[in-house]
Amino acid sequence: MTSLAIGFLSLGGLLVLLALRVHVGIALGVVSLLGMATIRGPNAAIAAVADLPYQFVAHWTLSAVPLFLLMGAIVFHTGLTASLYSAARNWLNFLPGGLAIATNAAGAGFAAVSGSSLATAAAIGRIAIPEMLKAKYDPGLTAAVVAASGTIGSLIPPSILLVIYGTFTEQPIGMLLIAGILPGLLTAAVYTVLILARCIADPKLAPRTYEQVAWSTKWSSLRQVWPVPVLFLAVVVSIYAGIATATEAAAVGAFVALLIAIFQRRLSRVALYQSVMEAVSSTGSIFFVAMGAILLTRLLALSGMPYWMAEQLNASEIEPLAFILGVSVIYLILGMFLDPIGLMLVTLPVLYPLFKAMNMDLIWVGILVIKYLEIGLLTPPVGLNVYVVKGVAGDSISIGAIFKGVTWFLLAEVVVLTLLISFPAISLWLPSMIMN
Amino acid sequence: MKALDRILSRVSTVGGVIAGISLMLMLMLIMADVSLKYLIGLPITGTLEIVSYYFMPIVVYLALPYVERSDEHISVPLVTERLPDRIRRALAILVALMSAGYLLIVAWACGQKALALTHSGDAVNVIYFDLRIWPPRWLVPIAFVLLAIQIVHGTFRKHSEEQTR
Repeated sequence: MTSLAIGFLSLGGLLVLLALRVHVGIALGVVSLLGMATIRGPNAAIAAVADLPYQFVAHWTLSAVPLFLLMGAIVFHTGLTASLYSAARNWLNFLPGGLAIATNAAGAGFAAVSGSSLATAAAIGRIAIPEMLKAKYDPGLTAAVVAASGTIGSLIPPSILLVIYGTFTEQPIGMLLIAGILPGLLTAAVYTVLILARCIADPKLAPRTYEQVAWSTKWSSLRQVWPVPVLFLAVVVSIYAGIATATEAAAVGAFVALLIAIFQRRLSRVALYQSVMEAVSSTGSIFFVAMGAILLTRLLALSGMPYWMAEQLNASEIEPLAFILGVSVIYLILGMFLDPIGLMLVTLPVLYPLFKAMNMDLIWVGILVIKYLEIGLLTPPVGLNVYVVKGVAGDSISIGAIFKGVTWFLLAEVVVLTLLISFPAISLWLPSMIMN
Repeated sequence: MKALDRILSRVSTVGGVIAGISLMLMLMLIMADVSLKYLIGLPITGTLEIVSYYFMPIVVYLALPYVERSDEHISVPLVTERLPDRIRRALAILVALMSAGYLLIVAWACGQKALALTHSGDAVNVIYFDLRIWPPRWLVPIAFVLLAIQIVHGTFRKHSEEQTR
């Protein structure tokens, strides 16, 4: 059997193991170990796994991951952003579907202090869902807007997914994080237009409340959200001004979050313990999967598969656009079954060499990949964001209704993706400013 | 069985807490380094090395058994749910044994490496001093062995729980 055949066989084996509910990290590792043993012999395989698990983790750039996770966990457990939703509501409620638009805006705000989509959906959902249901909003719309706005969490910095993407593709993390800002805002804007259009077309979806909010109330509620811009700027400015690497920016973010929580007397011992342990748990599970992905990368390199595929790709003279569309289909299908980090780490070892072979801008590609992963959070059967929202909403909304409501947002995602693909500048303009 | 349960639970919790404390220490060290660097132009020598070679492995590897304990590892649901109970359970045990086998092989390989580096006294130079970096190497085999025991134990526990029901 040729090395190439072993490479393909390993990928097939990987899919089978995943279907049998093997841990993603272990499935990646088992396949890689067996594949390397077949190509290079057992000793070479053992030598590869003897060093990588430590070497991979002992990594300065990757230490941004636990620190960003800690920052998000502190914000979540101390309720630093509780005022976000009420402020958004006071300002946006006059619009048709105002509460839903406010939810979306609060989601974008929370995304600026959290690197995780699931956390964003959970944090916003807890507050926004009861409010919208009370105002007799359509349950499908209510849940879908929370699930969808959660996905902005991985685009607007900080973003755990972008840090990991950057490590795997050897791209500057700071620029990747900055690159996510405009696409994140664009997503929020397209969502807003969608909500507006739907609620104008069908007023029954979102009964108007006609509640008058005094300007003084509006301004005072806006003042209460100050931790959000402060945290966001602490992270982004340190990266932008070149003061700090991604790791240092993450440390600054986590530290400032701690300070604000102490200052507002929200940092109870329980909240601190929960935040730290949650950060540690997520770190453990993310790195475990990433370790497996490193092994798969090694195996595929040994098999010569990426090189072979790149050659085929070049020989076929395929248009970059057609290639990107093909990639979209792969992500759409796998995204139905895998969570974002697993999906990214399973696909990058195969796709990254192809992106390189196609001479694509890897920062732009990174943003597209995140977008694909986020869409996977919304598609059945394993749309994790939908399940998070279902967990928050309880029995009041059925899972079917949520998926139905989410379909509209998937259409919005098609629009966003089309724009991002047609105009790479949306992703690349801000990072290009750092270069100068 | 119960005693093993308790021991595993305690060990993984202690590991998780040490990982948590290390994360906080890592945060403080990086903050101190950044502040000193930009306030008085005097970074803390060795920050990068200590964070990379010590804190990161401690946070990640001591967290692993803790994560398994709280069942937060990422795995894909779905396909097997449609199978009959008996086959599903047999499959679960098979998967657990395979997982444990893999983890033990990696643990053994990493243990060999750690042993070799311990003998050679693996270190990196940090301008003023040599930082010994072989000790954290041992975290990898320890964590993987614990993880393997937990996975097998967890599967059989679930199995026996389902049978008594």
